[in-house]
Order: sequence, then C-alpha cells, then structure tokens
Amino acid sequence: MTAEPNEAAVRLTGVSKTYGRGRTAVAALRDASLTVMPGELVAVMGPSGSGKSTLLAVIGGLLTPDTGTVVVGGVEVTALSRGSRARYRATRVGFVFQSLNLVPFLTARENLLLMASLAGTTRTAARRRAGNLLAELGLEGRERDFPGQLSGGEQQRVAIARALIHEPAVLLADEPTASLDTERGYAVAVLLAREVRRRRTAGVLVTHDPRMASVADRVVRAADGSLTETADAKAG
Amino acid sequence: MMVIELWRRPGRLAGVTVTMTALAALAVILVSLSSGLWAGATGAIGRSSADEFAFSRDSLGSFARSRFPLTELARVARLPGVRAAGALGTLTTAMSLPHQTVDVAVMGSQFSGPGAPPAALPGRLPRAGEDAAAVDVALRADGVRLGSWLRPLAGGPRLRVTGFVAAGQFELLPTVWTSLATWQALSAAAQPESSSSVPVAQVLTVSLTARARQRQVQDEVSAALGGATVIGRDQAMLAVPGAAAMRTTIAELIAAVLGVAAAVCALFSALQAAERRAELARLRALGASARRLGMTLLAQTGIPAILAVGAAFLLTAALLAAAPPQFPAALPLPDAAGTGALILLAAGAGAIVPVVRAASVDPMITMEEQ
Ligand SMILES: Nc1ncnc2c1ncn2[C@@H]1O[C@H](COP(=O)(O)OP(=O)(O)OP(=O)(O)O)[C@@H](O)[C@H]1O
Ligand SMILES: [Mg+2]
Repeated sequence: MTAEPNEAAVRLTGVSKTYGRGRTAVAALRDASLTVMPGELVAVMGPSGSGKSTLLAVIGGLLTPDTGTVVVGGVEVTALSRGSRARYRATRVGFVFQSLNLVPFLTARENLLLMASLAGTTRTAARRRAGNLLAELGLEGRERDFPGQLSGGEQQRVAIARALIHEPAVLLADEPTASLDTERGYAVAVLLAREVRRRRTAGVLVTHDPRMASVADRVVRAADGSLTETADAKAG
Repeated sequence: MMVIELWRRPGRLAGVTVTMTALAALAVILVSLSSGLWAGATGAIGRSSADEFAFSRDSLGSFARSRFPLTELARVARLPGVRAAGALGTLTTAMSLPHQTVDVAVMGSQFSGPGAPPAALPGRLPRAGEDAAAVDVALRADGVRLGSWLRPLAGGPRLRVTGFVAAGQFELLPTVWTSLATWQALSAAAQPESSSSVPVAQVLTVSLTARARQRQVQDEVSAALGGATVIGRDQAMLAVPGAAAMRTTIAELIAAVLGVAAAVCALFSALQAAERRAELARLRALGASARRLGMTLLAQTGIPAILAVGAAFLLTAALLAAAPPQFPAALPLPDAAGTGALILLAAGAGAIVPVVRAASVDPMITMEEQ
C-alpha cells in the first residue's frame, strides 16, 4: 500500500489510550480521531496533561493504543510488531523533541547522516541531502560544529533537518520551541512550517504558544484526552 | 558511527581501559608464571623421549613411593607394542661446590633407554660403573665446569661432571643425570630407610612402536608389572611432587582475575547504560534497532578490552625481558593467545546482560521526560 496523492498521510480513527489500571488509571486519549494531509501542518494545543505527547507517541509508533487504528503513509502502525515499529520509525517518522535532540559527540552533519543510516538511505544521497537541508535551514558553515557549539535555535534547526533527511511521511514535533525565546522560537516554527509544505510531509506540531500555532494550517485542541478541531484555522 | 565516541570522548573510556589493562596484565603475568613454573617443575619429564611411565602398584602414582627391581625391565621390553624400556630414579638433594651449595634433582638413568637425555653437549654422558654426572647447563651459572666435583651433603659418592645436558628441570631444580647405580647409592645415603640390596629404579619408562595402541600397551605393561599404574607423559608430569597443586592454585588465581575482569566490565556497562538511558531511548525513538544499539554498546566495552589486552601483553613482555634469567616465567604463544581470548570472553560475558537491558530501553521515556 502506498499513499495516493490526495490520500491522508496520517489517519487516526477512534484512538484511546489509558495508562495504568484501576483507581490510578489515567485516560490520556479518548476516542481521538485526526487526519493530516501531505504538506499540511497541524498544531495541537492544550493544557498540560491533556494527552498531546501521548498523541505523538501513538502516531510515531512509540506506543500502541488500547483501541483504534493509526495509518501513516499507507502503513497500519497499530498492526506492526515491536521490531517493525523501530523500522517504521526509522523510515517514515521524523521526530523533533523539545531539547537534547542531538547526539552530543557527533557534528551537525553526522547527526543527519546517522539518521539517514538508520533509515537505510544510501551514503551519496544522504550526503547530498544533508548539505542541502543544512543550507536551507540557514546552517551553512556550521556542518562540522558539535551540538555544544551551536545555539539553542541552531540545534533545533539541525533537529528539523535531521527529522527530514530520510523523507518521512510525517514530522512530529513536541514543543520544539519551548526552550527558545519567543523571537528565535518563532523563526524555528516558521522554518518548520516551510519545510513541511515544501517537502509535502505531514506535520504535527505540539505547542502551548498560540504564536507558534499560528504558523500551522489548522489548530486542534486537546482537552482531557479528546481532540476538537477549532474554528480559528489560519487562512491560506 | 556511534563508535566514533571512543575517540571523541577518550576520557569516558580511559577508566575502564586502565582497569582492564591492570587486570589483563595480572592475568597474563599469572599465566606466564604458571607456564614458567610448570616448565621448571616438570620439564625433565615433559621433554623426555619416553611415552609411558609405570609406577609400582602401591605408589599411588608418586615418584618417591614407586620402586621396581631392575630385573623387571627385560620383561617389559619384550611386550608387544614396546619399542624400548628404560628406568628412572629421582632424588632432590643438596650438593656442595667449591664455593657454594646448590639444590639439585638427581636423575638416575640407564642412558640407553627412553627417558634419558639424548647426549651431553659439550662433554659426554657418564659411563657404566663411573660415579659421574652430566648436569643441567643452568648449573654453569653456579660455576660448574667440565671436571668439577659435586659433593652430596647427605653423603654418598662424589660426582665428577663429565658433560652438560639441556634436559630441563625437575621440581624447579636443575637436573644432575647419573647412572641408576649412582642414584641408588645417593638415595641410600640420603634416605637410609628406603635403601635396597638389589638394583632398583623408581619408575620404568616405555617408548611405543609406531603402530602400538596406547591403551593396550598400558594394560599389558600394567599386567606384566603386577598391577602397576601406567600413564602417559602428560599424566606423569602431573605426578611430579607439587606440580598438580601448583597448577591448580595458579589456575584458581587466574579464574579469580577473570572473574574480576568480568565484574568490572559488567559494572562499567551498567553504569554507562544507566547514565545514558535518556540518550539511548532517544536513539530508539528515532528508529535504531535494539540489536544495533547493543552492538554499539558492546563495541564500546570490547574495544577498550582489546586495547587493554594488547597493553597487558606489551607490559608482560617488557617485564619478562627485564626479569633475571632464572625467574620461572615464560609465555608460549598458545598460552598467550588463549589468555587474551579468555579475558575478552570474560569482558563480553560481564557486559552482555547490562548491554542487552540498555539496548532494549523503552523509547517512550523520551516523550515522558520532556
Ligand atoms: N507513563 C505514564 N504512566 C502513567 N500516566 C502517564 C504516563 N505518561 C503520561 N501519563 C499521563 O497521561 C496524561 C497525558 O499525558 P501527556 O504526556 O500525553 O500530556 P501532555 O499533553 O503532553 O502534557 P504536557 O503539556 O505536560 O507535556 C497525563 O495525565 C499524564 O500524567
Ligand atoms: Mg507533553
């Protein structure tokens, strides 16, 4: 199965996930459904504990939901074995975490090449794409710098480049700008939105900050594990 | 690519490399000591041309307690599968030289049969009826020359040195080869209670014909000698007084060192894994397989271990080169290779459980720790 051009890149249907059981059980997702088209960026907003990270974990194949199905790029993630889920993450998913994204003893470029090697991209293709991506994200000349030599904003840009080098079906970003000041955070969010659209990757951006969410095509609200589409979707 | 870390963060691995080097060096030194002591304790038997050694029935396989009248020799020599038979007597005793006293192992031999040194170089082997000796070349260091006299402190005939042999040591002592009659006279003087009125030897030695079946010949020799214990050369080396116990003790020491090496690697791997749980979970989240992470972590313990083994060998080689020649240590290549392999095996065994646990870390903790 491969994704048709006008087919959703991400389709969640009736997904629920409860942590623990009995009196300590926490329903992190309740009957959540979500569709993201290729090249579309969806922002997920909501209070702490509303299930945003759980949502990304379910899409990214880190967590198997109790009920419901998750289909990404034509692959039914919820039907994969443990081993195949690692392979799925390596080939179809790009992750950008809040912080400590990069392997500290590898240079910016090597961090990208490591991801490409996990995905099984050929060396030549990986080198070419790494150079292009770093340049597009304004990191020309910083390829050989180690994460410790880069500013927070630069590190997040390298992380975005890394999340895209293997041409994933979906890019998942969990508060990628939370550790940056507003100015730099916004610049990073804008770059992320631009790359998602340009590369026709589906994007899910979790954020607390309405300003960051404004770069997205749509905003989805999470509350107590339920997702609701908001009316204030950004035009165009 | 992850193994790059070894070079980029050398400090992180210096600790385990240094510790492992010390342990590996200890193991290698113990092995070389063991080889050296073993050669010193049993060399005269190990280098012997005899294939089989017969100990008398009640001797419990001990050189000191074994006795055969020499008349038995002819009977053994005629058995099928026996090419030649010889006799051997051993006695550890002290001999005085003009300027000092040395402890030696007197080896009584027929010189013609199996188990005798092939020839004296330089000089000659003692002749029948002559109280003389061909002695271990190592005794040159004590000033023994051709024509020197060795005087046994316990009494008995004086021995004139007629030649030198490269026959190896016995009970860590240089060997002094005499006729069986001379050995018997020296034994009688040193241990009057064990003296005998007929010519005797301690053990009978046998060399096999090319087609002989070892077990069968052993059985026939044993039967011909009234139920004697007949054993091969390797077994006979273990019958040398103290040799078996020494070997066991050193083997236990080596096992203990290997155990500590395994524990060090286990601890190091466990610490690494605990310290890097978040980093490893992140790599798992990005799609690194548990197998790939495991191989990387194993390499991060394995490479320092290999470096440590290499350094340990260099260190030991330097120590052996600097040691005085009498120092009982040697490192034959097979022993060296075996020791290196054992240390690496111990390192791997120690690291494997923590590595497998670390590599299968749940990638979900990445999302929870945000
Ligand atoms: N491993 C877990 N075990 C038990 N409960 C958990 C676990 N992970 C998350 N939860 C609970 O599930 C709910 C949803 O958590 P989640 O991390 O998805 O929220 P979030 O929206 O990302 O919050 P935040 O904005 O603080 O990151 C919370 O109540 C949380 O306490
Ligand atoms: Mg969260």
